[in-house]
Amino acid sequence: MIEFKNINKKYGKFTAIDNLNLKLEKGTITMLIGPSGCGKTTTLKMINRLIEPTKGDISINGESIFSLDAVLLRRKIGYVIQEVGLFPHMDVYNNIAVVPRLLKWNEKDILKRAEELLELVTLNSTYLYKYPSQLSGGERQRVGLARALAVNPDIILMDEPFGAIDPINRAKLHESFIEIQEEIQKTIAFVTHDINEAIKLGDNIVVLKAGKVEQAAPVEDILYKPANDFVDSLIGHDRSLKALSLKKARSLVQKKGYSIIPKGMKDSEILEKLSEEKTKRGFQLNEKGNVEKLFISEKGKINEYSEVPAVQRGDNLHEALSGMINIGENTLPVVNSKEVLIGVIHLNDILSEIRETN
Amino acid sequence: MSIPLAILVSLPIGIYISNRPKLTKIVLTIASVLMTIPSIALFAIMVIVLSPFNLGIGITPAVIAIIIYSLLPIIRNTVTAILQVSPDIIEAAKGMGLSKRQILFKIEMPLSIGIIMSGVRNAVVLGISVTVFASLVGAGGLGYFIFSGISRSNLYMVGTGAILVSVLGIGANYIFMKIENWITPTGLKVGRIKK
Repeated sequence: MIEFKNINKKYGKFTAIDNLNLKLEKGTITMLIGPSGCGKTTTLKMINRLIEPTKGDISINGESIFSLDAVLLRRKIGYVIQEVGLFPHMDVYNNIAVVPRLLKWNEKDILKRAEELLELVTLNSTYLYKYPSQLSGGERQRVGLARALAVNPDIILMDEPFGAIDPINRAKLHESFIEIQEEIQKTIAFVTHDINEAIKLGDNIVVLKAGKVEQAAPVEDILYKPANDFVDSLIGHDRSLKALSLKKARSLVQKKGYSIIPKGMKDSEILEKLSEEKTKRGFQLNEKGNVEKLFISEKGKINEYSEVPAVQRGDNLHEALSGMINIGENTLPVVNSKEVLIGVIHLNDILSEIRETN
Repeated sequence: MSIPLAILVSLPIGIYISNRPKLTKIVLTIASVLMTIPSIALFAIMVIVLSPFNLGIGITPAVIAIIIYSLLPIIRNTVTAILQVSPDIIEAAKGMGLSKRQILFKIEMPLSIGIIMSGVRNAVVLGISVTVFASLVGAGGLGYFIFSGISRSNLYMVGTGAILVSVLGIGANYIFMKIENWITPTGLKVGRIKK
């Protein structure tokens, strides 16, 4: 647990941080958000003492960080920044090896750890000897995260790590980031200026403005019980839509309401089977369980679709809803990470979910 | 020659002043002024200044003069090289727990070495052309052919000297370009691979 006690930071007469009190719980992601100059990055950098406060104390698990040597403290805290800051003259392996070498690990262990980490961030060992200039933005970001995790620190600081990535790759990185965190359970402080990112990734959100905390609370409270107009305006009017990103599609998966169609059936046979099972849609699967075709009965006819958009079970309801709106359908198949069909999700269930939380 | 000595003097100066902007300005101004002194005059000054120590004639004034000429290109390139290292990278290194020394030797130096070496290459080529005048202070060298040639109106002798100096200059330039390329870390040379 990281605790800020009465922290002040002044640059000359300008007060950057004004009497900050904050607790970051162990194993959670705390998102620091606010307009430029609100002190979010300053707050983050105080944790690894890149910036020293003018007054006050910060402790990690009860121990003041000012009682430790700053350089040694930083080796125990993972650090990821925008543009990652990978060292361009070192290949991926050497980048990951920097901190382990400072801590005098032997090379065998470092290699093993590097391979493990690349696996974790969904790259593989063929990346070990590539240089940063040979990687895409998203890959660099993954390596940056792997490097921060090298010596398995309990705390990771992330300063707008996904800021420079295009929206499509950012969404992918978000997915894997959530999955990785589920596995590693680190205490993470994460600076962002994107409220959607904060809601999607965070357990808790700290809203800062002009060096003061406007609200520090779990994501649901920020959404439904904003402390003041500033927090309210930050969330915007589409609160319900944003709140959808808190819930996973798998929570609303239905195993009923569709049929499985064996291969080689004629349209008339499919119609018969659908009406027998009182459903309107049937999926044809291959031997692995992947959806190959979708049949929808409409006015006594069968429409066949071979390109079937699906929702990942780890996707949130916001993404599921977007998927439905994109193709104008009220039901989408839900698949697991191996693209195997596990059920369907209905628009009506999403709507009643919204009614319930409001 | 005097180049290793010049590197020995210039590199630490360059590194030291690189994060002190005011000092950088002063040092670079001084180095520029020193470089504007005509080379013959510089040799003459060396002879006069050094003669009380009985070193006025021979190799010493030549070496010192060339060091002075080499200062500017090496110091300037060292400063530029270190300043071009992205502050994000330095910050990342600091945040990961590298000490100042480790940042200098593991991050800043490898990322700067290419540009520093091209400064050294400039200094070498410059040094070779200045060395011609070294024969005037009794240090011998290829300049001997040129100046004896002039005094004897011997075109062949002047030509031979001049061509040899050029060849030496071009050769040194080539060799140092190879060194520069060899010493630059691979990660800075590999291009982006298309997928």
